[in-house]
Amino acid sequence: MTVDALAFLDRAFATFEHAVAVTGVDEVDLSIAGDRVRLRFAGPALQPLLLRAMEHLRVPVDPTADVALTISVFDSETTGVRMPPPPWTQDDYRPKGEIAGCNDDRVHTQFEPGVDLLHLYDAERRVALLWAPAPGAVPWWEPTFPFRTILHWWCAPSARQPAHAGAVGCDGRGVLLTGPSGSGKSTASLACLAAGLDYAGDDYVLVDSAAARVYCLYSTAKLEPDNMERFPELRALVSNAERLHEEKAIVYLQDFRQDLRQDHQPLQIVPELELCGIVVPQVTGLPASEIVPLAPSAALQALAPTTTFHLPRYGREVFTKLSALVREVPCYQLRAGTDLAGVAAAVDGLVRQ
Amino acid sequence: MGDMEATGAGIGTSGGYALSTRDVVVEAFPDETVAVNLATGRYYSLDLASVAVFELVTAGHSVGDIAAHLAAAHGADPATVEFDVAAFVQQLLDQELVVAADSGAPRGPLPAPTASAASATPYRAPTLAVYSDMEDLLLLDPIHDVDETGWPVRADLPAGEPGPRSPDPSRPNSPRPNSSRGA
Repeated sequence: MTVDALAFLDRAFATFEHAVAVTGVDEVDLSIAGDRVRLRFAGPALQPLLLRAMEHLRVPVDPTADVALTISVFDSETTGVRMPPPPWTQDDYRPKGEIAGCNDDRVHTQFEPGVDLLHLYDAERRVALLWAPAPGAVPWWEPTFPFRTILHWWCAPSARQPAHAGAVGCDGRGVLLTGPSGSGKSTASLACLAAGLDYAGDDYVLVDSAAARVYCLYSTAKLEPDNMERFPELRALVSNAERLHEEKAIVYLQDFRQDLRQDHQPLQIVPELELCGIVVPQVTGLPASEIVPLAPSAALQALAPTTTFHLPRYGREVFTKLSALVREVPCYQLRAGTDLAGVAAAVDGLVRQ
Repeated sequence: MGDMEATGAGIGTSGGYALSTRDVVVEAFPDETVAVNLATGRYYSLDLASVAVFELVTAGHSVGDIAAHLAAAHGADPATVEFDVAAFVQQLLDQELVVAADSGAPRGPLPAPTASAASATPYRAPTLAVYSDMEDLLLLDPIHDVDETGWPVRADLPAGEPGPRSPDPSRPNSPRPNSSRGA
C-alpha cells in the first residue's frame, strides 16, 4: 500500500492541538543528557502516569530556551478528541509495532497491537507525539520507562542510545550493569544503592558510546515479586503492591530517597556518570561475589541483543553503537553471590579503582 | 543459553556466497565474532577458527575451494573437511546469514598455504553458536479486532471501549510482557 505517512503525522499533531484547545496544555521541561526536552500534555490524565519516573530530570520551563525535542501527549477518552483513523491496514503491522510504509528518514511511526500506544516522531522538526486511546490503556510497564521509543528515535543520528542496563557509581564514575531479564541486573543495582552507591538507573539508561558516559533517564526500580524478600525495606515503598500477581514490583526511588540507603543518608540519583566499566552479572548461588575481566564480545552479547530487539528500527545502528561502547570501556563479569552486601562491595571496589 | 547446531551437507561445492547485508550485522573482536540477524531476532558467536571460514565464505569462495584450502593447511582429510564446510555453509544459509551469490569472482585470493601442513594447527570443524532467546521479541500480537475508526482493540474489550489491561495470561511467553519487563 502507499501511505502518506507525513500527512497522517501532520493530522495527528493537528488533532493534538485540537485537544489542547479543549483541555489546555501543561508544559514540563526535562534536562536529558544536557538537552532540554519539552513535554506538552493535553489534559491532566497522562501526566502523573508518564512523568513520575522522570520528575528528577525536571527543570523550570523556559519559553526562550532552545528545545532539542518536544513530545506532545494526549489521550482520547479524557480529552474527548479522537485520533484520526490510521491510513494503514491490519497487514501493515510489523514486529515491535513498526508500521510498513510509515517509516522513512523523517517520519517514524509505531503502534504495537496489544500495547495500544501510538508513537510518532518527525526527525526533521524533532517533534514527537504519544497518543493513548485512554489512560487505562497504558500498560503497567510504560510508566517505568516513558517515552523510551521516542528517545530511541531521537538519539538515532547521534552516538547516544537508550540501553537496557542499570548504572551505579560514585564520585562521578560508574558502571553499567547489563544483561537480559533475570540476569541479576536489578538485584545488583538495588544492592549497590542500598550500600550507598549513587544511582543512575536499574533498567534503561542513556549511554553515549563516543564519550563513554551514561545518563540517568528513569528513577524507578523494578523487581520480580519473588525477589522482594531480599529487599524487605522496599516492600512498603512498592507502588503496585496489589497487582504483583501480574506485574513486577515498581518503586519510584525519587519519592523515597531518604528510605533507601542502609546508612540512612539520602539516595543520590545522579544525572550522569563517566563509565569505567561494563558489568555483566551472573548469579552463582554461592555466598561470595567477585568481579573478573570479561571479553568485550561477551559483554556485547549481554548488552546489545536485548536493547536491539526491544526498540523499533535502527537495529544496525544500536548494535554498532553498543559495539563501540564495549570496545571503549573495560568489561567485567560480576559473579554475584547470595550476600547482597558482598555484591555491592564488589561493584564498589571496581568503581573506586 | 546457546546451542550448537549442525545440519547435513546438501549444498553444492562450487557456488559462492555473500553476507546477507540487509539484516545482518557483524562485529569482529580479537577472540570472537558476534553477528546478529535483525530480521529473525537471532544472534551468533563464532570462534576464531570458525570466523576464518566465515570470512572465506562471505568473500565468495566456494565450499570446494575453502575445503581444499583448509585440508591442505591443516593436513586434514579432504572429504571430512568438505563435509564440515558444506554443513557450516548450510547452517549459515538456514540462519539467513548468507545468500547464494549470483555471480562474480571471490573477493581476494585464498590465503597462501603454510610452509608445512604437519606444523599447522590441528583442524577443527567450523561451528556457529546460535542464540534464539530474543526471538520472541519479534513475535506479532494478533489483531483481534479494530474499532469503528480502524484502531486495533484488544480481544477482551468491546470495540471502542479501551480500558484497564494486563498482559495476556494465556500467552506466558508473549512478547508484550517479556519485551517490557526488563529486569
